Formats: sequence, structure tokens, C-alpha cells
Amino acid sequence: MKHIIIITAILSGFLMGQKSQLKNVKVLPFKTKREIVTFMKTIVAPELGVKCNFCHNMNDYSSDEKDNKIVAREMMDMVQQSNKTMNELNFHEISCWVCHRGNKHPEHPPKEK
Amino acid sequence: MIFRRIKYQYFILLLLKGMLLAIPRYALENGSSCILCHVNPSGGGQRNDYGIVYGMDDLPSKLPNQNSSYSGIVFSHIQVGGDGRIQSVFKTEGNVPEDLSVFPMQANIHLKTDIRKLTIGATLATLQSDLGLQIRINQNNGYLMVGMAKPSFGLKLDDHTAFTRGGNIRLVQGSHREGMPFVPTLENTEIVELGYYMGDTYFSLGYTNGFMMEATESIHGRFEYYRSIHEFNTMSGGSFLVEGDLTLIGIFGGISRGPFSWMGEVDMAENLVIDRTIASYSEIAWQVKKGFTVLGRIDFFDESVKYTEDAIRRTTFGLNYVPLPFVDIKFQIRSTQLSGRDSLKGIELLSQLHIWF
Repeated sequence: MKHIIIITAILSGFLMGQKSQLKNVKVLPFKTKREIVTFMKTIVAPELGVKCNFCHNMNDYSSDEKDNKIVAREMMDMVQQSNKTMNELNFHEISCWVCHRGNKHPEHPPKEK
Repeated sequence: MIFRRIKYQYFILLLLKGMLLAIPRYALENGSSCILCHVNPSGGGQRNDYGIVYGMDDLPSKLPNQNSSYSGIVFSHIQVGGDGRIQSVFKTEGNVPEDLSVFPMQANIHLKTDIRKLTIGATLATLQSDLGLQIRINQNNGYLMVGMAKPSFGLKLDDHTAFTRGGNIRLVQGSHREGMPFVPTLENTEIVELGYYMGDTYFSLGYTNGFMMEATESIHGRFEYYRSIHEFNTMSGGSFLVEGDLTLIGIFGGISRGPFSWMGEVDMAENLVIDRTIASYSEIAWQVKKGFTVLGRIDFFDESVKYTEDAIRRTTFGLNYVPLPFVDIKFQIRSTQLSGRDSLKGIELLSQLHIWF
């Protein structure tokens, strides 16, 4: 009985399973899971001082159900746009660190006008 | 002698049924729950995308030249993984075995697929023909898991001889038991489990049927909390399991900063032998450089708190070497001492090769 259940589960995976490729990646330019995990692990998480669960549902990393992930996507888009300008000016590219300095929220918000 | 050695090897082989072994020190160092790297929320077995990249980039002392994009995807819908372990034990004094024993511990194949909100994972322990299956329904930060598996209790260490797990399967110190009941002979059993992630906290509560005793229902629960404070990562948690008259309660925790970490566990069992049994585990680790970790460990087991002559203490010094991605080599020197007796019960030299993907 156990064997039948296992074989059925594996077959249903072949027939109905979702393709295990990058899912719901809208802003980042990466092609492989390794690139995206390495970027998150070495750049985003330490520069914001957060762990994966700050933005991701640990059951499903591709899910957009956490608001922080939506904000993070907007922020990454902003950084990419900024870097286009920086490249045109022949300046160094920027990253999350420029504002966040290892904090979830930048310590020095813009001056109130 | 040869016959005796072969018998011993087969004895061990038969005992190691479908183990799921994990290295909770990695969870502690990352300040996150086991699900960061493993498909199974309580750790062990198949690695997820993060776990594969962590194994390729963060653990080995040498990285291959090519920037591998390996992700475990063999077929487009199925992620495949595996664990293989070979161990050797050498004892110096009159304990059994008297000479070198080399035996395969584990040869598991894992498969995983996702169907919408479902995660289906299967594990085949090829050496023992033991099958495990978990169907997990993911919803928001929680899950409902049904299938054939083992309930999780305490730290799922990668050493089944720790007294908080199964301890000495062959009773070499003359006690009724020399370890908690999580011996590798336990087979996967019917399980229903609910789990929930709330920030850095993880809860689970489950029901199994006939895990340790046939036709006996059991309930189990687990709580984990991970907190990062400046450069420190901390882990704390507890778990329980009740099956018939047997009650198990345990707490575990750890702290790490940079290359140093400590973690420990204390478990208490009622009616495991006569009355109350206590087992503990304490490990200090120092990552000397990437791929090289030295560690010291003390295991303690008191079969019955009523008697003072039956406690066992084991001291271990070891080296973990990860030369390449997915290859882990362990060397350990262990000595055991019984309470109330000065003489050591021999020295054990243990080595283990673990290959996984």
C-alpha cells in the first residue's frame, strides 16, 4: 500500500508538478537559483540586517504575501534605476548599504521640509 | 573473528533504518529555523534551493572553478537529493568490537515536487527499503502535513549515538538503556502535523500512530525561537512527545558569534526504564577556517535518577572537514566514563564520510 501511495505521488509530480525554475522574479536580472540565493544571502540580508523570513514566506519563497517583499522589490527597482544613472556618470554603483547600513529602516530619514 | 565482524556490520546495517540526520549548528549559525535549508520543516533529509547553495558556497574549504548552477533539478518537475554515509569505529580496549569496523550508515534518495500549494516529498532508504512520504499543504505561514514520517523531538543531530537520540544501540556499559528511545530502528509511521511560522518562531503539533509502540497513539509538539542580537545568533526551543505511559520532555538552545558556537539539549523521560531518565548533550564548536571545524562535546545519560551508579558520561573531541561541496568528513576521539568509577571504558576512534547532493 505504501509503495502504491509513493508511486502515485511521484507520478502526480511528473504530470502536475510545477516546473522548478525561478518563479515570480520580476526585477532581478538573474537566470539561476544559485545566483539569486547568493545575491540575497551576501548582499540583501546583511546590508539590511535581516533574515530571509523578513520578506519571504518560508514555506514558499516565491509568494508575494508579505508586504516587506513588495517593498523590497520596489527598492531593488529603485536601486537599479539609480545605478543606470551612476553608470552613465561613470560613478560607482550603489547597493542597499548606501542608505540602510545594516538596518531594516535607514537610521537617518530624509530631512522634513 | 571475520564472521563476528561481518555479523556486527550487518547488525548495525539492520539497525539504521531511514534516518533523517541534520546539523542544527548550521541553523544556529544562520539564526534561522531548519526550513531555511531543508524541505522538511523540522530539518534533515532533502535540501531546498537555499540549502543546496549553502552547501556549495558556504561550507567547503575549496570551491570548484566553474560557477555551478546545480539545483538538484533532474527532471523539470522533480527535485532529487541524496545522502550517503559510511562510518568506521575503532575501539582500543576490551569493548566489542575489538577491532576496526566499517559499515554503511545511510543511502537515502529524496524526491520533491510542488503542485500549487502542495509540497510532496518522498524518501527511500535504499539500504533498508524503508519509505517515507510527506504531503504538505502550505497556506500562508503554516502547513498541514500528512504521510509517513517520524515525529520530530529535540535537536536532530547527525550522530545517532548521542544519548539524546538513540545512544549506544548495543548496551556496552551494562545498563538497561544507554540512550533515549530515538534509535534508528524506528520506522516511519502515519503522521498528521500542523506547523506555523510566526516571524522567528516556529510551532508544530502532531499526531502519530504506533511510532515506538505498536497500536499506541502519540502526540508530539515542538517550539523553536531564533533571535539575532548584534553579532550573536541564538536558538531556543522545546519539544514533547507522549505515547502511552511514556512521556518525553526536552529543552534545547544555543548561541553563536562569528566562528564560535555552543548548543545543548536536556531531555527527561518518564517510564522509559523505571521512573525518570535524563539525557543531555552539550557541544562547543570553533570554525578555524572555512571547511574546518573543531568541536568538543559532552554527552550524559542517567538511566534512572534514583540510582547513582548508572550514569554515563562521554567526552568527544572531533574535527569536521568539508573539502569540497557536498563532501563532509568527520574524525572523533571519544572516551566514556561511568559514574562512581574512575577507570575509563576505552577510547573510540570514529570517522565518517558523508556525501550528499
